[in-house]
Amino acid sequence: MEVRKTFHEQLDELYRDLLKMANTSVETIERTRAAFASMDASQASSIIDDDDVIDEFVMKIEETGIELLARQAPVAIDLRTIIVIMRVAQHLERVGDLCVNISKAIANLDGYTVSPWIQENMDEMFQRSIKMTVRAVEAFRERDVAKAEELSKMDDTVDRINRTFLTSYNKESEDELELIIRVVMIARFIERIADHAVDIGENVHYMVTGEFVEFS
Amino acid sequence: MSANDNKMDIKNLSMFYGDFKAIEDISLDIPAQRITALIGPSGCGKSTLVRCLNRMNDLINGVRVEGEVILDGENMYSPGYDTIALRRRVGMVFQRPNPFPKSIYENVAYGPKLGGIKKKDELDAIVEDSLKKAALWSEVKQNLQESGQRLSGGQQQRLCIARVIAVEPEVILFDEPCSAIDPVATQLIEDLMAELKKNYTMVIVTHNMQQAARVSDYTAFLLVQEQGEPGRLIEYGETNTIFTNPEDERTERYITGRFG
Repeated sequence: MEVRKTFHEQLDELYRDLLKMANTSVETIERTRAAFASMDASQASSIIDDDDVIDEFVMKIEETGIELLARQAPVAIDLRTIIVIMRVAQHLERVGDLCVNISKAIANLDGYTVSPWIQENMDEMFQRSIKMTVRAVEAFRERDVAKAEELSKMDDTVDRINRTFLTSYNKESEDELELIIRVVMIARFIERIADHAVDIGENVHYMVTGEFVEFS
Repeated sequence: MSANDNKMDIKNLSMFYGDFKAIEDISLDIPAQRITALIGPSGCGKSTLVRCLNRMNDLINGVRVEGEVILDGENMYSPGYDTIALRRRVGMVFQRPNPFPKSIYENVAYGPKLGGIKKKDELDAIVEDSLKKAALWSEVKQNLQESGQRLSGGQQQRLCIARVIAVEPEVILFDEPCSAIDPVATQLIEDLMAELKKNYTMVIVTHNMQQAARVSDYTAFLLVQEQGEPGRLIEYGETNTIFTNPEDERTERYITGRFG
């Protein structure tokens, strides 16, 4: 006989709330990618406005998480799940903030011509970060440690592309130097999004196994 | 922790009430100066097990024990073992506080008197010291001649702990010590147990899982798998591990309330 049915239903609801938040976060990265690709300042501005939605998600998840910790004294897998949901929500909120940072930076690119090689590499970074975030969320949803562990390797490629901007720009051109400073900043924000996906993967590992690991 | 740090070693212990096997093949170390909690659903044999640790079950007709309980290197179930001395070395606190119908002073002095201590000042010192260790002294020092049974439930339980301490045991067994007292008194007893750990080895049976999580260093989970079967040890380990990341799925399902 299950003796803590109500509590477990509340926990399931918290789980679903996090998945909803994760969907919104992935959509936001995708919208940010599109805004960069089209250099669309108005789309970038709507991303900044919509960040409140993500902030509301994290507040609701934290409130419920704290309430369950205080009132239900969860243990074992229940304890780990609540802790991890609250941590993952924090990471997703930071992802939202990074999308806001990128959107602000897009507005500052007004008047510059972004060369195709920059566009291509940036899009590649975006695509890979989106894929990593989706993978992290899947690993969480399916409680799949193997999937979570793949994230570390996926992150290496993002880091590698991130470094190409500084090594590959035309050092003869003063215009491209000014542009590349702005681009490097945006690339750094995307690279951070990918790092958050890796952190989410580490949390999934803890949730499932009870062991803390650092994916290197 | 090396074997030398164990106060007791329970080895392949089974206990029968007549033909009924209550617990089966339990092996467990009780580390010295630590608190070990026994948890599990009603009827899993946790009280039976704790009562094996000072041969309290001997007093019930038809009880038979197989296996060993080693206390400081000696099997307490070996023939000729001195059970009177054993119960002095391994004291017990029960579910319902059970002070004698005597004064507070006499409740505590009773054991030492039986042990042959006669001098008043010596007994006075033991009573004061025991009541202090049981965190009851400041509440009762003015009324030591009042009946122990007039104290509140929580105070009575601490009086019973003082009574156990007075005979200088090495191990104290607690059989659901807080199930009949209020939450504030429960917290007092839990603090007291943490304090007593400096000098005593303790084993607590509790049906309150959060209490086990709060007070104990090690936790053993016992379970009856199918009705009519004996209680068996499912998992034993550091309390921290048991409550954050238990190894056995049955432990996890029990402590998270997925069955009860």
